[in-house]
Amino acid sequence: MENNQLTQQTVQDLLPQRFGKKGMIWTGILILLSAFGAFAYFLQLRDGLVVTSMRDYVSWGIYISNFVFFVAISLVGSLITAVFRLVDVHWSTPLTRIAEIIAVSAIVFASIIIVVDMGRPDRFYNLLLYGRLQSPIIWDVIVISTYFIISLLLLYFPLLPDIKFLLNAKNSATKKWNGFYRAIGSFWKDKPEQIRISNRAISILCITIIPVAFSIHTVTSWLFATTYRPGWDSTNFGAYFISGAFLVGSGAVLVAMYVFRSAYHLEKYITEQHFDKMSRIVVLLALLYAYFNINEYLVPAFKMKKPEEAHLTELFTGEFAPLFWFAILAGMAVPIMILLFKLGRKPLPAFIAGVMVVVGAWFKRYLIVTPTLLHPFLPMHDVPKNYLHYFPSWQEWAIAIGSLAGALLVITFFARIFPIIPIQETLIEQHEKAA
Amino acid sequence: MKKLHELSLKAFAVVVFLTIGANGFAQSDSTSKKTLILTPGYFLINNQTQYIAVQAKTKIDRKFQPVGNLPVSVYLDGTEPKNLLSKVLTNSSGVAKLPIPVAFQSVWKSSVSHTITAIVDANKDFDETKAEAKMTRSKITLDTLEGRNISVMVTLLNEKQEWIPVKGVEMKLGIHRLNSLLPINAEVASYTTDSLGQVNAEFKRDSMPGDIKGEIVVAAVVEDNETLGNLTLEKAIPWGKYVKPENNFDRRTLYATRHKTPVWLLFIAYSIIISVWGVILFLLNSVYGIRKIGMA
Amino acid sequence: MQNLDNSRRDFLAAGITAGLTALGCNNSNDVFTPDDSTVKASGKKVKLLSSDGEIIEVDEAFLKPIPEMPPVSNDVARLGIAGKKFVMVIDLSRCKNLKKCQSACNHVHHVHSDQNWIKVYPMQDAEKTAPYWQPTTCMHCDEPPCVKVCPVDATFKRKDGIVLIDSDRCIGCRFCMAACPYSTRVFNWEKPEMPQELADKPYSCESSVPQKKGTVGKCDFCPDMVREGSLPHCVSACPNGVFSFGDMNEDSVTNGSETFQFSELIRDKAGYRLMEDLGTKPSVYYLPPVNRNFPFESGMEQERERESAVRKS
Repeated sequence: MENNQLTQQTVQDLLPQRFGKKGMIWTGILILLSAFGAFAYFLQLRDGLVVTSMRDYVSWGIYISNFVFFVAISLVGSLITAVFRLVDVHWSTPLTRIAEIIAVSAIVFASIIIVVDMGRPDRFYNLLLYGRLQSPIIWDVIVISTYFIISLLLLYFPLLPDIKFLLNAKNSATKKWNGFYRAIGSFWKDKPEQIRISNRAISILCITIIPVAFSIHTVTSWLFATTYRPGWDSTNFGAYFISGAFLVGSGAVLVAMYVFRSAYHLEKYITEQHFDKMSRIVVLLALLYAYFNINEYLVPAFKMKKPEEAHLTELFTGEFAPLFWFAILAGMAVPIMILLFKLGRKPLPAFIAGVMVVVGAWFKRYLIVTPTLLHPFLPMHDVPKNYLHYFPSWQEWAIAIGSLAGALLVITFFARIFPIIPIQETLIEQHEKAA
Repeated sequence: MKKLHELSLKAFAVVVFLTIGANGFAQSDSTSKKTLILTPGYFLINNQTQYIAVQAKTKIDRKFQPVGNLPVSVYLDGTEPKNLLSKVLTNSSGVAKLPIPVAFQSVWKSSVSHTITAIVDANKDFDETKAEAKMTRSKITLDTLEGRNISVMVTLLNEKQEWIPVKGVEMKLGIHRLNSLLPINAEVASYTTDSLGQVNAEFKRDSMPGDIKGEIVVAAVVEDNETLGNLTLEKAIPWGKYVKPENNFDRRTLYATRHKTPVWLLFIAYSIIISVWGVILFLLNSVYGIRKIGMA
Repeated sequence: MQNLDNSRRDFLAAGITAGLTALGCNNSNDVFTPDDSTVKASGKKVKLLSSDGEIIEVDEAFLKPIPEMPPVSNDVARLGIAGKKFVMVIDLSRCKNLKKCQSACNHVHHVHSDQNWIKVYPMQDAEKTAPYWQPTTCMHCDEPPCVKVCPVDATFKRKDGIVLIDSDRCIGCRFCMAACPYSTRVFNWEKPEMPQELADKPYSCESSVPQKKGTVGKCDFCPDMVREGSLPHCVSACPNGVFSFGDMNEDSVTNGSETFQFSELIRDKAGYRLMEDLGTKPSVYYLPPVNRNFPFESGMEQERERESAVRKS
């Protein structure tokens, strides 16, 4: 009987809730930012990429670094859900859906931002009509769409058992979505055969998503590493990108955990234990990323080959040095220092460390893309002054920020419609504990 | 003397007034028309085919520029309407070409020498411009001698219908190449015929790529000769070497087109795509299975 | 006077080509005759007078280049001219940064005023080595990194070695620009400026005109000029004969006034290619800046003028 009460309480706690005042303001700001980004994109469509600050030397700017950031952050879905599930880690159950929706939303906006970067988005269909398998871009198109489908499935299967709670909910917060719920999952009846098929599907997905996740970020790193440019011409790039991706994704989960926990009062479900464990993982991944960074910078810096020299000195002591050291410190060093202490692994400091990781990671992607393009093999010559530098135009900022806001908006709306913590799985774990 | 000076001043003032008045004050800096330079030329190829070409150019900003789309009237032996060969337009390179029409057969046969006159009527850019070129019927022959030597002979037809050698004709000898003539001997820029109308030259190009029979086309070119015009004689000579051109255009490479993707890449890519999407299809089928069980 | 000479030369060269066409060099399947490539026999015969006053029949293509030859279709342009392998030799000892090549190229291709397809770099390889001027075109690599990465076959390598761009297909991803180690590609960041009538014409891969907004452009080796029987614009614009262009399969290059045996030239003057270590196999060869015709400083005046012009605008 007590058990049943606990169940009802849990379901009640975890069902989606209406936006409070803060939620409305938050959503409103995100909508405004996204709309402004869309307006800036309209200007870009009308006038061409001339509205950006990109020119012939810096032909890829923050759109591409933003794309890399999105792809990186989307990898976390595979880490939290798949890797942990395969190694039979159970404490992460409340975090799986957060990780999965971050992954889906990030991969959607990665695709959007790459279309934004195209000079002729109207010819996107050429990729299907004339796709050329030799090009890493086609590999990227293939793996990103594959990863999107797999992530969506990995979000969907564990969601199915939760649909019945949504349909049976007494509160009216989700009533208007009932038709949608029915369409996607009214057929879930908790039948043993259904559970068996679903569990098998989830296991298969968890195994499949890991190589695919590795592929998307490795292929994304190859967009750079398959060129000759100093700073990109590296065999370390795939591993370097993946370790960075796991780090930023885990940082993002830390941030999301904190935000959902305080916004929806989920202290009972996302506990300090979770912050402690997640923080340890962030430390581990930050150390791993630091290791690959040392490989990536120290080895060429030891040799200082002529084309690399200009690039590296610019990063270490030149124009990009403040940003470079900021990305290293904020993205790795300081979070490690915070999270190494038990006190640092409390929710608030862990949240702050998570924010630092994510912000640092965003600028790190910028530093991977742009400085390299400013150091071509032949000196920059015969171009106007504005071709020799790069600082994003307001349109680029608006679009980049708009895309980030859009990704957050997707996550926000998802949490408004669906339980952000899996209800069924939480219940099962409660029963197991009770038993 | 003073009066004369005054008069000339007055005259000068009148001229200035008229000029400015005629052109308007706004464009007083372009008081005169540009100078048109017409260059007609007679071209004879392999002693048979012949044509006339006229080049038109003008000087803009101290540089010669071709004048395109310019109507040029070309006359043969006189400038009466009956002498008009044709009216032609210059192309974008400022060149107009025309053959000698069949109708002029009797005129052509009546003499061994002819005068070609090109006339451009006055228009808004240029004054009337006239230029002429002369030609005499000639013949150029090219023979190969022992030890890779070449002998060229230039003769012209006199009024008694006799072929007589021409001395002092300057010519180039070369191998026909893309838009150019590669000298048969890098050290000699041009050759001049001796009193026998002959040029003897040594062919000093080893292993020049030739056609499948090892033949190369050697040409003797007389440019802009005052009496003869422009003569070209081409002859295929087996002093080349057939070299099969290497080309990897049809190979499957990473830089080939999408129809020529390397097989190893196709194999790897499709095996990955098929296996992963096979799994995805299986999973989608699982969704369907769950649905069927639930609906039953 | 140089210009007069140049145009006179072209004039005569055109005459020679026409002559070859008429007679087919006695050998119609010879790769060196401009059979399927340059001037196509139309099949229509015209009657005209021969020099001895007889009536002969020749193909009407005899009078080519006809004034406005229509560009070849883009499908044909993708294949290239059979049997040819185009090559360029840039003689650094002759360059004094006059940039006539650049202005002629920009003019013909309607290149944006901020951009250049041909660049002339002031180079100095090491602290104590002598500076020199280095013009660069597209290298038309035999293993082009830009073509490798193009996702849609918008940039492609032809049989004759030329790398071209189909601006009707380019999606504007700019991967090729990142891939090119020679920084030779430019992007149409905005709508290209050109007369409307030209902008309305269908795009031709061989003339690279009209450039389209949101696509990539670069030096094309002017195959349209080659088909017409002329040399690329940079070659004919250079008064110092820096650029020589030709067909490697004929082992010959010409700068318009002089014609060289390619293999001999490269051997005798120690020709080399840029960034050989990258394995791109360029089709552009350089002759080192030895025994120069002009001191390096003579090019600086031009450079200062240009810089002050940039500052003003």
